[in-house]
Amino acid sequence: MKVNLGAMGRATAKIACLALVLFIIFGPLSSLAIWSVAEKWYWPHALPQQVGLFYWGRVLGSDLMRSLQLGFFIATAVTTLTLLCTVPVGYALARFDVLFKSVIMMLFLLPQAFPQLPVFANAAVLLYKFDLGATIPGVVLIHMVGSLVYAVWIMTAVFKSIPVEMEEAAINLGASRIRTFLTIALPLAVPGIVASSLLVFLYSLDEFTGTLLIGAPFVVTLPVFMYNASMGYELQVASITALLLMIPGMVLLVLLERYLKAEYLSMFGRI
Amino acid sequence: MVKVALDNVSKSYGKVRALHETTLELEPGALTAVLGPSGCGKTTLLRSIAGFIKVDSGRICFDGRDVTALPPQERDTAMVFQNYALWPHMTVYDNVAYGLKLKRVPASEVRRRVMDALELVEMVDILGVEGIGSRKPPELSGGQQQRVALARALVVQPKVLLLDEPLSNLDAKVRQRVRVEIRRLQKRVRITTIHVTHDQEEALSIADSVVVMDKGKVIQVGSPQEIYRRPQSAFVAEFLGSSNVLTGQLCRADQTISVGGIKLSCATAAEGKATVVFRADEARLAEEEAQVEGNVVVFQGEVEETLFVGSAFRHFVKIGTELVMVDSPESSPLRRVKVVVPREKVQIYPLEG
Repeated sequence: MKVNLGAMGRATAKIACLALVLFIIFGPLSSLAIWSVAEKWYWPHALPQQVGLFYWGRVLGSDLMRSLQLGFFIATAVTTLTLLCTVPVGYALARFDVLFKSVIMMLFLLPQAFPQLPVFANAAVLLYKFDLGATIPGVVLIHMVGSLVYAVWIMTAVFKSIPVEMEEAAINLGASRIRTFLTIALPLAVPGIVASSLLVFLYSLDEFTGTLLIGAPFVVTLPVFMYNASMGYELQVASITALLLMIPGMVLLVLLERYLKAEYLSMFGRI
Repeated sequence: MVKVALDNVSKSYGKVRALHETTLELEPGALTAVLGPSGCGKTTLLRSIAGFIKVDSGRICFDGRDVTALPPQERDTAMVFQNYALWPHMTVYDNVAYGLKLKRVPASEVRRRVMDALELVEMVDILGVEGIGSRKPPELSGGQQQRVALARALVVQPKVLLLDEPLSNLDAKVRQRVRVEIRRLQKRVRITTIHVTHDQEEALSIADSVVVMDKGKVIQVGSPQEIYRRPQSAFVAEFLGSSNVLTGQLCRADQTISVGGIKLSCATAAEGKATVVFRADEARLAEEEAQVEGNVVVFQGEVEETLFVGSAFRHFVKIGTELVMVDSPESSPLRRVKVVVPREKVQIYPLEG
């Protein structure tokens, strides 16, 4: 009997813990969900008086879809350009005694050392000077300020995790450095490259401060769209946007978990 | 068959001398084992020959042709790495074919040579033609990966085959077998082969000639028998097999050495400390009171411990303050004993410096 009681107690505690965790995760989200279907909701009622899909219809018929598309387009561009930069740089940092290695790493980290807002505000001034303000290329560039940092660290770690003998074996058989990179290092780095591009893609999709400062008023991505909506006290629209914004994030994070090896992260700061 | 020659080759890493004025000639078509403790420079030697390390000074020649300045791609060496370094994203076939494709060998010949190389290392029967084209290295056992790595190196018909501790990742049983196979294989292809190892038994059993290295220097070169029977320094004697090392005091005046409480006559031009070396299996135990005849050295000692080591009983005998090992087929019940060693088996090396 005693044993049974103990087991039951433990099971109860487990369920209570699970409930608490679910509440912490989904509590705030549930309010988003409720707001998204609230057509009429006056104080002091605990739940909306009138529930319906009116706002969903309005949102899906509005500019939101364009913002979503734009966000995906920008994120794709940012990811592609970031990878084009960071794959070679990461490889060089991982394999060669690059001159001023720490200086290069610092250069990438520097924008993160200062508060984001002044950095972006100054960048905005600069970009406007080159007629890049409120343009898609301008927003792509400002996203890359942040994405390059993640990507360089991860790519360096990825290439470091590939045993150098793998490449030496190819060189030993007569392969040139470039051929070795293309046939050995690059294919072996694919999981890491996928992981890093997912991170960058998500970062770009969710980036807000820089996008608002550089992109407004013409380049409106989903986070900016949501901000505008909530500024107009349209909590329903803001909630729907937030829910939509969560979908790619969750999908990509599930993918990320498959590709991002713990050893890449453990290399952070050791390069 | 290519003759490999190193002439006064040196390489330092900062203050650490990895290779120090190494001069070495390797017989064409022979299997040479480079033996030494970790950090003795043997891997640096191998990587210098492969071209992965740029030496500071000296020359490396293949058949008289100076290759010192050549990049690794142009040296025509093939290396088998300690961790095999097989490419996990390619099939066994693609791994072996890689070197041939680089050399732009026609496709039909690539196929034939890859299969020949895999046949040579006896992998065709294990994997089947199907398996060779579909299996990837991580799916193979350590011993099988080893064979594929060998095939990948042999298929390009290199001038020099370099083996970097290729057996150290295998378990003892597999290692014994692969060791025999490497020797058999090398005798068949007759490619000049350098086999780096820290395992003295492996070096002695596999090689035509053994190079013993320590602290970046070549200490002794010779056939396995020579190295084992006539070590020319205390280091080699100690490193090869279960040897006992005692410290003695040389005396030039009466041409003797005092060691373990006795005096031995010994022709010496040096004065001071010397090491006295004899092998555990060349000594025997006798009763304390026994009369011992012949040209032998006799130490008085006390048996402290007896261990069964499989092939023999190993007795740990205290002579003065030093402990020596004596192997015999039977466990000795004695406590106070005589340790008897034939005089010609006792080697004396004056300590340098």
